[in-house]
Amino acid sequence: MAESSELIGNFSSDANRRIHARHRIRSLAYVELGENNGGIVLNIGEGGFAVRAAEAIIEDSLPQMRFQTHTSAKQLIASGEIVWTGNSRKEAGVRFVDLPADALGEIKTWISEEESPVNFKKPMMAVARRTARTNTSASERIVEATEVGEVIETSEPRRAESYFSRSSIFQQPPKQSPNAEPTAVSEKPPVNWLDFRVQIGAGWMLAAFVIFLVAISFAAGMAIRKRDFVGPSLGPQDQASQNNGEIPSSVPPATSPAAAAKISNIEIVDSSNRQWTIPAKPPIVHANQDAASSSAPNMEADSSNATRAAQPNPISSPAVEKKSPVLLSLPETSLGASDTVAISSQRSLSVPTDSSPGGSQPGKNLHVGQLVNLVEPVYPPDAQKNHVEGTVKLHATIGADGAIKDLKTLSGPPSLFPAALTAVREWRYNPTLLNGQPIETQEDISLVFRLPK
Amino acid sequence: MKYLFLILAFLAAAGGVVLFVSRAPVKQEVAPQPEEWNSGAIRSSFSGIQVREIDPAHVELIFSYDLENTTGSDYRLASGPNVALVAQFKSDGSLRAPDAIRIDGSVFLPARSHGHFALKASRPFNWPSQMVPGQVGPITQDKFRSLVSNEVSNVQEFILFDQTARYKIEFPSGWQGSTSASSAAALN
Repeated sequence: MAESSELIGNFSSDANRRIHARHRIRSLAYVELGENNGGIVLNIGEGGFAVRAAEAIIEDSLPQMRFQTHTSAKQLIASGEIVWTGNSRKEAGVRFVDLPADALGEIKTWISEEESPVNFKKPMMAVARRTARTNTSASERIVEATEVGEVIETSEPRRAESYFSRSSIFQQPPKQSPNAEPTAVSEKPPVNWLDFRVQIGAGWMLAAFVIFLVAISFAAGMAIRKRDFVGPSLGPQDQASQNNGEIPSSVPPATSPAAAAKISNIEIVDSSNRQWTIPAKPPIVHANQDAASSSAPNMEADSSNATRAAQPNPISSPAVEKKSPVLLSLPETSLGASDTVAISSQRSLSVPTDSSPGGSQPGKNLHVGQLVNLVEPVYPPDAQKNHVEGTVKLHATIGADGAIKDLKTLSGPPSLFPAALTAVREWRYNPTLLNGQPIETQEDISLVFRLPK
Repeated sequence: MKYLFLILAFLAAAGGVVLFVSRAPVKQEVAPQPEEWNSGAIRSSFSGIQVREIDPAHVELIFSYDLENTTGSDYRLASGPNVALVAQFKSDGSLRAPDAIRIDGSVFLPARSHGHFALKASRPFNWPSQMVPGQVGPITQDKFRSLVSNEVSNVQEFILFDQTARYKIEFPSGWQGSTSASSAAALN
């Protein structure tokens, strides 16, 4: 540090005596000081330069110096004399002696190039690349002074040695001892190579990040465009968020036709606002298989006794394995009503069971013939006159052709029997089919006679 | 670092330009295209069928539905030139104008609320002469069932298009398989 202060003093005092100003050299310039010595130009002016030599400068004059600027491939040859030296005599100020005009012109050009920041950039980077390896190993730093008096940080002195070892114009300098005093070196580039590389890497990362952001914004723009396009056809949630920014929490799932509620009833309303409700579907017949036994059916023989289907078949043969028929009772239905008579009935039929493995199940392929011709009874005038009311119950056997085959009175006012029997005998049904074959059925009929009001 | 900021600024500006350029022409491009139908805004479920006597020779079929407004906006459904009611047929899925089926008045559905709605159709029908309260004979029942069945047997559902709101309201059928006029009952 003491020597550095002394150098500063030398530089400063020397600068005051100069005719031509010295200029800092940002690039590296090598100068051959003689046959066995060389150095780096620290600064330069039209009258001379400062140099840091590899070996101590003993001579007072340098008759043949060779150096080359970065602006020209031409090697300049000049002679000079030593104006000052540092304590180690490795730093010295050299004044040109009889500098040729062309060399002076080259030096002026060099100085102007060094002063220009634009032209400085490229050579500086080239120098930075060349010096990177030596800089990375710097472990200690010293403060050095330039001729203009500014204090800069430089890396360790070994860097200069590497320059000499690589330079083609210098001979291999002897190695310095570990205790060699710190020496002045050229100004290091303002940007460290490693720092520069880190900056480049971070820059690319940031650039990639920005490109990513741009892509995201582009995608967002496209999404917004699509949203604008879709407009009111948004789903309910989207639309809700568009309207109020909230999503309905209890929106039921979309109603599909398959999931729609089925009609269970048809409501009928007449002009007097009287209402009826009828099932939308015709009643479904359910089989009662509580009469299963080991007897075989005999439809023809048993048809007249369907209500007593559980009884043994009178013509069944012990040699033939038969089972008793299954009695099917249909729901009681209303057949019609007028002001004086309301009619209802309940159908029943016996269906044979088949014990064979391939036999059909009871009631399978059964189609119940419906009433197609309903004749309502006429209230007997005598009964009306005598104020006879009541319910007449009949039991009918409906033949395979749908006609009333047999009709019996079960209960009710006898004066009403003729009217009931006469009317019911006119009833006609569609044939009831079991496995495609017409069969007989039984029907219990109720006729409610009420006097007109 | 100042170069990085320059790069960032340049890329951001480029992204903005790309965004602007990409949006503007596409909007112009899609503007003429028709908007999609929103079928989820108004949901409906089948409620029932009513046959109402107008006179001894005519009845009115009334298909009732429950409507739900799932949006955050109020909605009024009423017949008008921008409201089209069609029936989707089972046979080929085609949409056809239903035969003289009309919208019953109008219904106002506030946001996220329910309402009732009906479609009506007048049909010739000989009203049974001897209808007493509480009793309808099987023949008369079949007569009514046949009336309803003839009306809806080939209809998959009714669909209403509100061209103003771009709403598509599907009125699901509730009558499939339930109004067969056949007198046969299969046991199985």
